[in-house]
Amino acid sequence: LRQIHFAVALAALSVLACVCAGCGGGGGGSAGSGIAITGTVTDVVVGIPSPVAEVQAGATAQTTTSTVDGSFSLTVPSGTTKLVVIWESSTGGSPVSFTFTIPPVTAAEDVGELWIGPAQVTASGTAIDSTTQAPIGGATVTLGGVTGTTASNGTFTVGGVAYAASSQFPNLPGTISAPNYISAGFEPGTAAVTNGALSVGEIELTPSSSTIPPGTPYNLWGRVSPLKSSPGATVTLSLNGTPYRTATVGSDGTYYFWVPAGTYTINVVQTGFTAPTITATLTSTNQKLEEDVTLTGT
Amino acid sequence: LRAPRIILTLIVAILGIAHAQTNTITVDIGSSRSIGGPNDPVAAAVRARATKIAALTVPAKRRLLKKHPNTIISFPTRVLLTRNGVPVATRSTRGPGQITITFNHTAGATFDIYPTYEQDLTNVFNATESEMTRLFGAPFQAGTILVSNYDATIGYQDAVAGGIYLPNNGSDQQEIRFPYYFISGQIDVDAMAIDFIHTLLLAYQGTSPYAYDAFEEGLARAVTATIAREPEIQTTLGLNASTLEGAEAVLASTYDVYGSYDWDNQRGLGAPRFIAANLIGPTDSPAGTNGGIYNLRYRMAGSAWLKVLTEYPTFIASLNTIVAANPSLTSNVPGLIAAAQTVLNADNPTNPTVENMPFAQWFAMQYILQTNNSAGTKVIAEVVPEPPDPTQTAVPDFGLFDVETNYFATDSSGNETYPNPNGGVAYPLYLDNAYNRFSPAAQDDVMPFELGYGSVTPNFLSSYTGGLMYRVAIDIPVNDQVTRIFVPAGGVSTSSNPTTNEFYGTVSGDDPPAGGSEDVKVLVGTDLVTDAPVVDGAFGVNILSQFDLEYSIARKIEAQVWVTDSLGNSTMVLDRFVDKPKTGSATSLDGTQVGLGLDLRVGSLSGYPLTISAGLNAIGFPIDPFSSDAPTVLNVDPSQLLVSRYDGITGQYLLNPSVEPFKIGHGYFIEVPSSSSVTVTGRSSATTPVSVALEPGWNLVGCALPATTQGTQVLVYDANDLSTPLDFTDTSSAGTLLGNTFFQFTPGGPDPAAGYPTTGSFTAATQFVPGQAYFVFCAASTGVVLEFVPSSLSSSVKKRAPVAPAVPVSWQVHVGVAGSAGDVADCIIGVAPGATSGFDRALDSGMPPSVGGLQLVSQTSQALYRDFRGPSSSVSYTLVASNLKVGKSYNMSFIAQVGAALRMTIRNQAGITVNVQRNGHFYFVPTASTQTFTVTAVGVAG
Repeated sequence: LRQIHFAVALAALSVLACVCAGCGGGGGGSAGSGIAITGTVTDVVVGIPSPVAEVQAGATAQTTTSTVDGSFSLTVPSGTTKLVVIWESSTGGSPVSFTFTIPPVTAAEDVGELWIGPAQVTASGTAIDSTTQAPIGGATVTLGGVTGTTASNGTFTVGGVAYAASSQFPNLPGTISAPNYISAGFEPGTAAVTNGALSVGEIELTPSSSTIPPGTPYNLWGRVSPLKSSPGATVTLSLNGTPYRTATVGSDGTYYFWVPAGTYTINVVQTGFTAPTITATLTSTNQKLEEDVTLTGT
Repeated sequence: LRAPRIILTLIVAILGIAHAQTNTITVDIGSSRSIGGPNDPVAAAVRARATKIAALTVPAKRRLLKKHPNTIISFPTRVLLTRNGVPVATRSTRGPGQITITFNHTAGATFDIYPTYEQDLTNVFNATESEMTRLFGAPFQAGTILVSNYDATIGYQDAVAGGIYLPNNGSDQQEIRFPYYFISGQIDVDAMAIDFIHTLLLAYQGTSPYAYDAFEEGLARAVTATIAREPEIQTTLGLNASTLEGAEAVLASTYDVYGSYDWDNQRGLGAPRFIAANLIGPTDSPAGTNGGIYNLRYRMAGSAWLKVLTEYPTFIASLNTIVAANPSLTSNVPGLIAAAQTVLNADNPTNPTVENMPFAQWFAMQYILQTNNSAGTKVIAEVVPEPPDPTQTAVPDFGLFDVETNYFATDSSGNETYPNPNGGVAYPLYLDNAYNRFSPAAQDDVMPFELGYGSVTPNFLSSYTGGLMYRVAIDIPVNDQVTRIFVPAGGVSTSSNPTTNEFYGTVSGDDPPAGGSEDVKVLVGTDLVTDAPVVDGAFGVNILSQFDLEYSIARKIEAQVWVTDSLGNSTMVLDRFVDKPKTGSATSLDGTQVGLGLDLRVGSLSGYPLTISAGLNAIGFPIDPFSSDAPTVLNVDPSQLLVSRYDGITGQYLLNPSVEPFKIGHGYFIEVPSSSSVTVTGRSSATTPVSVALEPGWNLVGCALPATTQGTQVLVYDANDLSTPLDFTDTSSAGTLLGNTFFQFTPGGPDPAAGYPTTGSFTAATQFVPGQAYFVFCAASTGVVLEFVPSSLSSSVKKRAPVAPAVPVSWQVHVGVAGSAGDVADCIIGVAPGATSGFDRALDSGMPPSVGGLQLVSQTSQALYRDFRGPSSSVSYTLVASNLKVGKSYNMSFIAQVGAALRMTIRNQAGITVNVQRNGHFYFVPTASTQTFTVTAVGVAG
C-alpha cells in the first residue's frame, strides 16, 4: 500500500533553524532513545510562527517548527509531561515562553495544537450540566493547548493562555470533557481581557447518558416565582398591544416562547395574585432573553 | 527588526472600513495630498491584507499543487481612498470609453531596475486591450491610468500582494500600482502578464464593483484565464516560453479547477465573500486555519463562469454592460440572474440555456455562486487523483486519491472559525458500487484534524474487484455534517495505463439490470467521440484518436448515460451537457495530462412537495435543497420564519439566523404564521443511499428518502466496528449505539392568541416519514452514520442478520390518554426479566419534557416513555398526566401488548382505586392541570 502524508512531507521540506538548550520536562534521558511526538504550534496573530518557534522537552530534546504549517516532530523521554515553546517575533520584542502540561508520554502521539502569542492571560470559567445546570467537577479543560481541571463547584482556571490584544482570540480552540458527558468545544471569541484575566463564562456539557430528548426551541423565557404558586399561571405575550402568544407556567415555574425579533409585553395571570407587566425586546431571533416575574398575593 | 513593527502600527492606524469584496478595500489617508513614498499607506494596507489572504491560500496551494511549488500567486486589489473618513470622489464627468496607460517616472515609482519591464507591461496592455473590451465590456471610466511600481513583497516566496487599482489616487487620476515578478533569476512573464490583465480588469470595472465575490472575483478570473489562454496572445507575450512553470501553473493556482468541477461543487463553498471578514479584517488574524477553502473558492468561481463563457464568449461583457448602466444591480442577485438570462436570450434565442438549463436553474446548482450568508458547521472535501506507481504491476496500482478536508463554522455575521470535530477526528466511510462498506487500509479509516483540516490518501486496490474499475462513495462525517464524493477507482489511471485518461467519472442512481450493461456516450455536436463502458459504476477512457483534436478544443460536450438490458434494448437515462475545460491548453494540477471528471447522477434532480402547517412544525428533507437560504426554500417571508436545529453536543438549539442551510436527512423545527405547500428543488435520492451523520446525544433526523422508510432500511455504521453493520431497528433494540426509542413531534391544540399550535407533544415513532423530523439518541461517543437505503437496494446491501432482543419482555401494556379536543399522549409500562426500577438502556426510554402539549409519563427518578420493571407479584407505576384542561373529560386506555396480568388497578389522586379490565378504559375529569395515578399490576412475575 502506498500512502502520502502531507504534513510529514511538508515538514521535511522545512528548514530547521537553531537548536538551543532546553528546560522543564518530565525527566531526563537521551532524546534519541525516547518517544516520537508530533504537534503544531500556532501563533494567535499570524498563524504559522515565522520565524520558527523552538519546542523543548527536558534538557536535551529540542526542535523547531515547520515554516510551512507550524508542525513539529520531537523525540522525548518517556514520561514527559511538559513542553516549552519559545518564540521571538519578527516584529521585535523579547522572546516569549509558553509552557504546556501534557499527560505523561508513553507512546507516540500527537499532542495537538500549542498556541503562542505576544502575551499570556489567565482564563477562568465554570462547567455546568446542560440539563440540570449543576456544576461539574473533575472536568478537563484545554484552552489553546493549556490544560486545567474544574473544582467541585465547576470552576476552573488555566494560566499562560496565548493572547494578543490586536487579534484577541479569533480561533483559539477550547475543549472540555468529563466522565459521562459529551466532550464539547468552546471559543473565547471576543471576550474581554481585564488585567490579564479572561472569563469565558459558563460552558455547558450534555450528559452522554441523557435519556431525555430536548424540548422545543425557545428564545424568550423566564421564571415565575414563588414556585409554590406559579405553576399553571397563564403568561400572555403581546405585540403592539395585541395578544401574540400564550403559555402555561410549568411545574418548575418556567415559561417559554419562540418568537420573531420585536418588542413584547409580558403579562402573568394567576388566581389570587398580581404581577407587573414587563417589556421585553428581542433584537434578533437567535438571542436568548430571560424575563423573570414575581407574583404578589392579593 | 524594529521597522516592521512601525509599519504594522501604521497599518492599524490608516486602515479604514473594509469593503464588502475580497479584492476591494478602503484606505484613509488623512489630510495627505500625496500617498507615495516609503511609508505609502496604500501599499502598506494592501500588503497587510495580502499577507492574511496568502496565509489562507498558500498552504492549500502547496498541498494541492505539489508540482507547482514556485509559481507566484497574487491578489489584485482595488483601493478606494478616503480623507478623514470622506470618500475621495472620482470625476463624474468621465463615462465609459477607452483607457490608456502611462508610466510614473517619479523617484520610487519607476520600473528602473528592469528596464524592459515598462515595455513588457505595455505589451500586455496593447496585446489584450481589445480582448478585454470584447470579453469584459468597455471600461466603466475612460481616461489615462498612471502605472507605478511598488513593493508587493509579503514574506512568501510564492505569493506577492499583486496589482493595485486606485480609481482616484488622491490627485484625481486613476492609478495602477504594480510589482516586479521576479523568480529564479528571471522575470516571471506568465505571472506578471496574468496579474496585470487581472488588475486592468479591475480598472475596467472602475468604481462599480459587484457586491459579491462570486461575481466580483469570479468574472474577472474567468476573463483573465480566457485571455491568457488565447494562443495569439501567448505568442505575442511570450507566455510559457521561459524555464519557469508557465501560465497554466499560475491559472491552476487561483483561477481554475479544470476537470474536477463536479467533485468540488459542494454546498459549503457559497458565501457573500470568499474570505470572512474576521480573517482579513484590520485587527483580526488568520490564525487557526491550515489554509481553509479559500484557494478552492477562488478557483471554483473562475471555473463556474468559464463554463458560461464556453457557450457565450461575450456573456460577461454583456452582463457588465447591463450592470454599468444600472449599478444598483451589483447588489441585486435576482436582478443579476434576470440580466444574465437576458444576455442568453439575446445571444441564443433558440436555446437560451447554460449546460442546457435556464440560467436561474443552472445558477442555483453552482454552490460557489450562492451569495447569501449561511451559518452553521460545514465540511468540504477536495479530491485530487495521484498518479499510480507503474512499478506496481503484480497487483496493478489503481492510483491514489488525496482527500483534503476542511471543517469550519460560519456565524450569522459571516465570520468563520475552524473548530476541530468532536474527539479531534473523523471516520471516513468507503462504500463500493453496491454500497457495501469496505476499508482500503487501517490508516484511512480515521482522519485526524488540526485547525479544522484533515486528510487521508486511500488506495482503492485493483484486487478488490479482480482488476476491474469500480465506483467508490467516500463519505466524510464530521460531527453532524457529512459530505460525499464519488470517485472512479481505476478510472483515472493505472500502473499499466499510467497516463491520465481524458474522460473519467462515475454514474450513480441507476444500475443496469442483470445481464445488461451501461455506457456513457460523449458527443461533440453530433460526433460520438467516445463510448465509455461503465464498470461497476465507474468509467475512464480516452477519446477516439480521430476525434482527439475536435474534443480537445471543444468547450461543450454532451454526456449521455445509456442502459442496455439483456435483450439488447437500450434506453438513455441521463442526458447532461457539460462545459468543459479546453484540454489542449491545460496541464492539470500535477503537471500531467488533464482529464475531465464527471459525477453523473441519474434521476437525482427533482422537486419535493413539502406541506407546512401554520404554527410549529418538525420538518425534514428527503432532498438536498439547492438553495442555502431558508426563506427561499420554504417561500416564507423571512421576518415571519423561525428555524432551529438541535445540537446534541452542546445540548442547545441553534436559532436562525445561526442555523445551517436545510440539508437532506436533517430535521428542523420551524414556525410559520400560515399553512402552505412548496416544491423544494434539489438533489434527491430515490435510488441512492443517503448518509446522515449523528453526533453524540440527541439528533434531529429527517427521513432522507422520498418514501416512508422502515428501521430495517436504515443501516448504522459504527466508527469502531468495521464489520457488516446492523440496521436501525436492531441497533435501537440493543440500546448501545442508539437510544431505545426515537420520537416524533405532534403539534398540540391552537394557541388562543396565535390561532395555531405553538406547542406539542413527543410520541414514539416506528418509521421515518418523508417531510417529518425525529429525535434520535446516539449513545456512541464517536457518533454514528445512518445510511438510508432505498428499498430497491435493500437486498443488495449487506447487513448483519437480525439480533434477538436483548431482554425478552414478559408483560407490556400501552397506556394512552385522549382529551375531548383531540389531544393525545401515551407511554408504555411493562415487566421483563433482569429489568430494574431504575433506567435500563435496553428497555427503558426517556420522555421529552412537557412543552405545553398533553403529556403522559411513568415517573421514576426521571420521566419515562417506556418503563420496565423486574418480575414481581405486584408492580406499581406512577403515571403523571400533565397539561390537562381542568373540567374537561379524558379517556385513559390500557392496551395489552405482551402477556397478561391477573389483575390491574388504577388509583387516582383522590385515593379512589378501581379495577381496569384487559384492554379497558378509565375516564376522568381533572381538577388540576397535572394529575397523578398509580397503576398496579398483580401476577406479572413472568
